[in-house]
Amino acid sequence: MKDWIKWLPLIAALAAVPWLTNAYMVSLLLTCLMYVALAVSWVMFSGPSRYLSLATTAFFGIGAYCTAWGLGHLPWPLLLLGGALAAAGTAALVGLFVLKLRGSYFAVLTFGLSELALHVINQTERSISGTVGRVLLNPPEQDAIYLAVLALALAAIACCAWLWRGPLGHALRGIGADEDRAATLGVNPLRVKLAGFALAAAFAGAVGAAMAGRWTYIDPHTVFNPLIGFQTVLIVMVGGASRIQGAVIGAVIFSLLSEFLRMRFPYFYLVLLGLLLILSVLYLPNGLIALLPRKKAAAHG
Amino acid sequence: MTQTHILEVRHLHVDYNGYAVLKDVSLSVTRSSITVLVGLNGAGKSTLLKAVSGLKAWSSGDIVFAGTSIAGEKPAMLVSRGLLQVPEGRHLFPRMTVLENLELGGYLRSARQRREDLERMFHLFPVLRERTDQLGGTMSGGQQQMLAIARALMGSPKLLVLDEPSLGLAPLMVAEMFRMIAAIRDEGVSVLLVEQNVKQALAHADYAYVIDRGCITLEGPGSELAGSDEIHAAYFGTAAH
Repeated sequence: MKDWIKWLPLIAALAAVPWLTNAYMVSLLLTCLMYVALAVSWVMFSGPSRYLSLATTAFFGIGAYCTAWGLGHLPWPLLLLGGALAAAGTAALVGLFVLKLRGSYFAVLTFGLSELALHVINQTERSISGTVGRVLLNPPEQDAIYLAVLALALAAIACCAWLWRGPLGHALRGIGADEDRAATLGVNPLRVKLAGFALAAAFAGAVGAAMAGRWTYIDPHTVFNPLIGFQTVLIVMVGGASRIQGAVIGAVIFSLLSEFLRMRFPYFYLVLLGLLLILSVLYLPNGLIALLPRKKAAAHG
Repeated sequence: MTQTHILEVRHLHVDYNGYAVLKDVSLSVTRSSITVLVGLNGAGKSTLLKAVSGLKAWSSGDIVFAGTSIAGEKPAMLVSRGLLQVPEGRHLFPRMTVLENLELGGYLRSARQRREDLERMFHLFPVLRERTDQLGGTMSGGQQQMLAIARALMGSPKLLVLDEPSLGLAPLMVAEMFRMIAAIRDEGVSVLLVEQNVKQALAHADYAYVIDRGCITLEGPGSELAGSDEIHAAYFGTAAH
């Protein structure tokens, strides 16, 4: 518990950023924090269980649409909760079917889930409201979004640490090592996976609901962008899936690097980014986190 | 019957794709005893254990645990009823620490029970206390076997099923292992032990069965079977005496 007290100054500094710096810094850090929250939410389930999920896009988009539909009717913080619940509910329902699959089949179906969600919402919007996109009137201020995403990122880290330390985390790791073996110890694999998958989805949904306020115009193709899901997985691959720090470091480096490359090499930045990713996966298969000495990191929890 | 027997296998028939692997197998495990099942490779031991732990369905017969049939029950359900198995090859989680392995073993228990059981395991297997943060896969074979048994005991079993616990262990370790198993029995846990190390197993068995080509061919108290001509002929190539 006292571990995180030494992080208080950093947390306080991050919380003070909107008052201390300019809008560009806030926007840059907001992207960082969004990917920290998404990567940690992804790793809390997929890290120990080794179920490679590409559904982050789906949960993010569902959360974003909660804000798109609810803004103006309900207070914004309530919409974050709504986004979390909607995403978790979808994860639990879909998980009943897809979590019975293993390996690449699971990954492919979770990718399909994002496409399915995109088309369902597209069709609903067209047939019910007769629109394709939505203009957000009175979106929340960027500073409010920033603080909300900061809170979500911290909550995701705390939740992940708590989860991994308890029986559910042990069970997820056991499932990742060998599902049948874990079952012989009394673990109900489907139930444990559903709980983990839904919990991870809740955070991705809340982040989507928060980030939606950043765009003044929302359409299904923007918020159900498959890149969101792919980038989340890549971040964890670059950072390392064995520890929370891996996801956090990966997210920060990835966001800053892609921002830097985009400014310097606007036409080549995706090529360069891809190249760097390939190199890091080839030469650092366990992620950047493997470069940190284990003992020192263990003291951080 | 159910008062004295924790487990009863009644006229069990199991087949794989129409090929009969177990033919009319009946055996029972008395409460707080060590029951040993010996047999050569391919005799049907593993199939019987799979059926007992809910991993293989049978075509006829029944398996009764603590007075109730286990037909159609999933492994997790059986664990919560107190039937735990330590599979062959130990099946630890090698990338998880000793402590995490043990905690996962007590998955179905409350946090308080888990803490108490952990203390009991450290008392029973002192070597595990010194190595709580070591990865399971980096320990010696004997230590891993102890961890596997301790992990199963964390689930507070009524019946502990051990599949070849002496496999791949040094002779001294094997003797130690059988002493542990006797200690576990003395704590009131019933043990069903499947072994190829016939000599040691029979020496520690309260009751024993011999399985051959899917049939129980011989049964009796361990000490009696240890001296029988059939056992010697089958396993040592000579008659007793």
